[in-house]
Amino acid sequence: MKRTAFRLLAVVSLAIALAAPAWARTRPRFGGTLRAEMRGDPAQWETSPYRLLVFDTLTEFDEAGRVRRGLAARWDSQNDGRRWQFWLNPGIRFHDGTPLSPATVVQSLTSGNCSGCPWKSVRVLGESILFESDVPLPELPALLAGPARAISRSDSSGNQQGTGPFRVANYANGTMTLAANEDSWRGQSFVSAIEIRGGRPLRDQWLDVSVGRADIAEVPPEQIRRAQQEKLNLLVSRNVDLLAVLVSDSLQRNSSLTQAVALSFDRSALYNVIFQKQGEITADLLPNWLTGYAFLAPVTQNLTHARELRAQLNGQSELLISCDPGDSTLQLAAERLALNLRDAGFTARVLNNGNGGPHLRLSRLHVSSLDPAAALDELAASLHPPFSLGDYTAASTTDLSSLYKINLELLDRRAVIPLMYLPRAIAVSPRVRDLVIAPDGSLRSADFWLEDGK
Amino acid sequence: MNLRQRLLLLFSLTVVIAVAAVSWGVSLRTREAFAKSYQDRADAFAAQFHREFERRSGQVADRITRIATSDRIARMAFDLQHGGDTALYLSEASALAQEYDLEFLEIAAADGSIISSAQWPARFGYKEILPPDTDTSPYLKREELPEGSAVGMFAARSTGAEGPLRIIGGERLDRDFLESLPGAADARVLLYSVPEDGTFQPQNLVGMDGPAANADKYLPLIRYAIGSRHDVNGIVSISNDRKESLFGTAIPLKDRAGSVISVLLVSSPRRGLIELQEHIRVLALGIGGVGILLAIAFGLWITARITRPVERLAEAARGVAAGDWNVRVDSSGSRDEVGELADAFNRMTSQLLEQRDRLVQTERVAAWRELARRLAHELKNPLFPLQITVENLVRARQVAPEEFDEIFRESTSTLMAEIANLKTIVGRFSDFSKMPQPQLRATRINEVVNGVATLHEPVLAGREHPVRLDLRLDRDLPVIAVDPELLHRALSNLVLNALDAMPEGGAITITTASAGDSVRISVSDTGSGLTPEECKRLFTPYYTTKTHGTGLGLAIVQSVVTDHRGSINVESTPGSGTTFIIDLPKNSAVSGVSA
Repeated sequence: MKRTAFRLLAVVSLAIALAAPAWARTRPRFGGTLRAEMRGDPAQWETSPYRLLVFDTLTEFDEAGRVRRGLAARWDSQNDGRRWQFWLNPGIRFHDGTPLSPATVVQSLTSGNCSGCPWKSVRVLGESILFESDVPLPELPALLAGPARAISRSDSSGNQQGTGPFRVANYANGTMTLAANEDSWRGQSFVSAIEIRGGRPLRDQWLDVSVGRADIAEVPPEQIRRAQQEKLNLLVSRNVDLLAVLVSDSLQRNSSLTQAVALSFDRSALYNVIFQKQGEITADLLPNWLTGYAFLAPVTQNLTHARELRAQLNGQSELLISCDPGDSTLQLAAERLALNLRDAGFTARVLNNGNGGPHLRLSRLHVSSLDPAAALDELAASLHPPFSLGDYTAASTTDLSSLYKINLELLDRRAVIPLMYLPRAIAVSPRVRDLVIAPDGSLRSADFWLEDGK
Repeated sequence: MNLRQRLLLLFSLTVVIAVAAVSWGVSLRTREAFAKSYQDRADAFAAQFHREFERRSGQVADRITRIATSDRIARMAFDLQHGGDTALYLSEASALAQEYDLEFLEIAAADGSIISSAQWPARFGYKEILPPDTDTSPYLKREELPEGSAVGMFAARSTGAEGPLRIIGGERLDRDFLESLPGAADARVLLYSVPEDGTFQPQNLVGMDGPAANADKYLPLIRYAIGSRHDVNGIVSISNDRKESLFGTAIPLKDRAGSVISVLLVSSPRRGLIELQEHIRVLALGIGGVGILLAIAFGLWITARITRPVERLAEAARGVAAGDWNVRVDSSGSRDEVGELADAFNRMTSQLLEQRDRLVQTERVAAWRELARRLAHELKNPLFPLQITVENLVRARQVAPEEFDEIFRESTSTLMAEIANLKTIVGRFSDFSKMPQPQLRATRINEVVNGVATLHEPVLAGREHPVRLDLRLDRDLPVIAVDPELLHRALSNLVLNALDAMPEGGAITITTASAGDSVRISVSDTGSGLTPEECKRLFTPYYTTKTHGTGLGLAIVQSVVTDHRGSINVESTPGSGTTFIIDLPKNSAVSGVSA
């Protein structure tokens, strides 16, 4: 019996001994510096995935894609969604100690170029922020959750101050250090700091992550497959970047030409080869995961019909395609599209400098909203001429069938030819725990921690 | 143009033609020498180019071979053969091209489908036309690129049966390639890439410094090289200045199918040649100018030697023509043809003189005979009545003395008349021998003519068969210097002569007119006219067609006219009358008398 009890005690002790480290690994630890690397400049907040760690938005999306409170504690709409009032959570301060107030929020929302803003005016009304519009804006709370609507203020030195869990502690030699904001209204983050090193080539980033010199590295969608082959630990977002061809105003007027151009594009070559089977082929404006109807749009190349349409056109001069000259993948994709156009009988050329009045521009359009109507509004605002969903009734944007009709009408305008939806991804070192990439590819949650706490 | 001028011109032309011919010959030889020099350099360059091309293409082929046999390609081939995704190797060609320093590199499947392309990464999946597996020799190819096309030297290799991939790579024929070519310091090397549509694209002509200036000037040479498909030479005119022109050689570069896809141009400036030609031209002009001057001087000297005796001959001939038959040409010191000509001329004048003397002698005898005949005839007429009268007196004395007195009176009156007649005849001969020299003075010819008319008009009108006298006088005749008495006498003779020609009556017309430098007086009758033979001898002294007269009237007229430095001619048609035309020179020295 004793022997049995002893054996039992030994087994229990062994089990406890084996289980203890595992429990210890899942328990968050405070401290340590997260080391991130990127190709671009960390100070370029518009494109930084770390923006929402420093700045907050009035609203946020939860894991289910529903709008929840952010800086705003509550909101209300009147007049069929044409008038919105937002009330702030109390006691929130910017990193420099300045209290967050409706005035600072209004100042933040009106300081930048607001050509794509759907509202007509935003102002302080008592303790609230009042948005007014001529048309119904039922998707306004979702729109305000986007990174572009993050609230900030400029201090006396011109530095941008936020209310997020991290504040900018230092920026020198292309490296930005974000220190944990101990007074954050969200609570203190686990890591003490985040060091973002800019200007790092992709291969160097991956090497640094592989050997433990960095914790986060960028992984462009076309490199996801290679990163997987190299056994990197990847976090991949939803398909949130629309690869699309924006059509110039002059070409939009010729529907046969734009149709021939759209039919000549071989999306499968982009998907299979250039983007290494990442993302999804699409001919719709919104990703299928967001709407569920994107698969309805035909995506196959039809060179025969394209050539027929081309043959009916007289005197069409050379088509010029442009793209971001710093994006080599887009350059390659643009070259491929030019080849497709040549196969259809067009004369096409890619502008290497990205300037010079192109007829077609290959672009990545980011969808940050988890709300279909807000996402469509976000995309439509980036088109030329800008397209406002406010042209339609509020009711029409609340259900998918109406949204689908708007979507079709937008496509009929031939201002944009969707090609692919691509995800965003990062490579993360094993010591980083509980890091979650938001569906739009950004880092929103500060609940990650470092295993060794260094 | 006289002989001297002709000789001068001939000498000058000879010198100019000789200098021009020599200059042209020298210039031609110089041009040929330069052209040969250019050609030799172009040939040398072409040979160097072909050697360099062989060397470079050998290097390309070697690099392609190393790539095809590399572990990296072997792994890729193995992976693809075992179901690997070609998309994973999209950028493989770019990496390998960078590693092996190639500008063109494509990895293709066995069917030619491009898996990866360094020069045009977006062309994956497109088919590439590949040379046969067995063909491993380097070749030229026009490679399509996003920004157009480019010509390159290529080589292709296969990875073998284990993983049948095709590696096609090469180097671009561009400015770097041109810079690597050996060449002369002043030679300019250009490369023209022939577009697929065959049109001339000036921007496709590049040199070491980028796009060639004045590319269109090379177009004829390029087109000729493309058309002929072999090396051609020609002159490239850059501007109107010939010194800017170039001697160009175009070397067509062909692909495996034999189509010309590029043209290599080597050009050398022709400035040296043009300057030398201009120097020769200036020298020729200088020599020509000096030569012409020398030719003129020499020509003057030589023509003087040749033409002086000829001119003396001509002068002597003119003297002979003027009646000076005693002229002689000095032929001493000239033993050539001209000397012989002078001797012949002298002999001719001597013979002419002898013949003239003989002729004068003959004419003189004939004149004396004619004079004797006329004198005998004239004297015979009064002598016969004298003889008859004297014989009648003698017979009357003997036969009828009673009637002798009566007969004596009649006979003496007859004798006196005939003796008077004889005196008249003798007086005429005496007058002719004593023709006075004209005493010239300013005279109005029309007044002389009117005086003659006034003298003869009554006689003419009083004849049994009257003769009408018509005057047609030019009122604007100038005053000329003549002897009015002698002219009156001459015109009277002509009027009397005309009167004798019209026994049945008629009309005499005297006309005066101005005829150039002369004053013309015409005396016409409507008589029986004269034969040409009579006209020819009409002015011969003692010649007459009449049964009476001494034959001195017209001779006196001719003598008077000749003494006035005038001329007299006769125009006559038998049966239609005769016209005597006297031309007297206008004397500009006459003054003080108004017309």
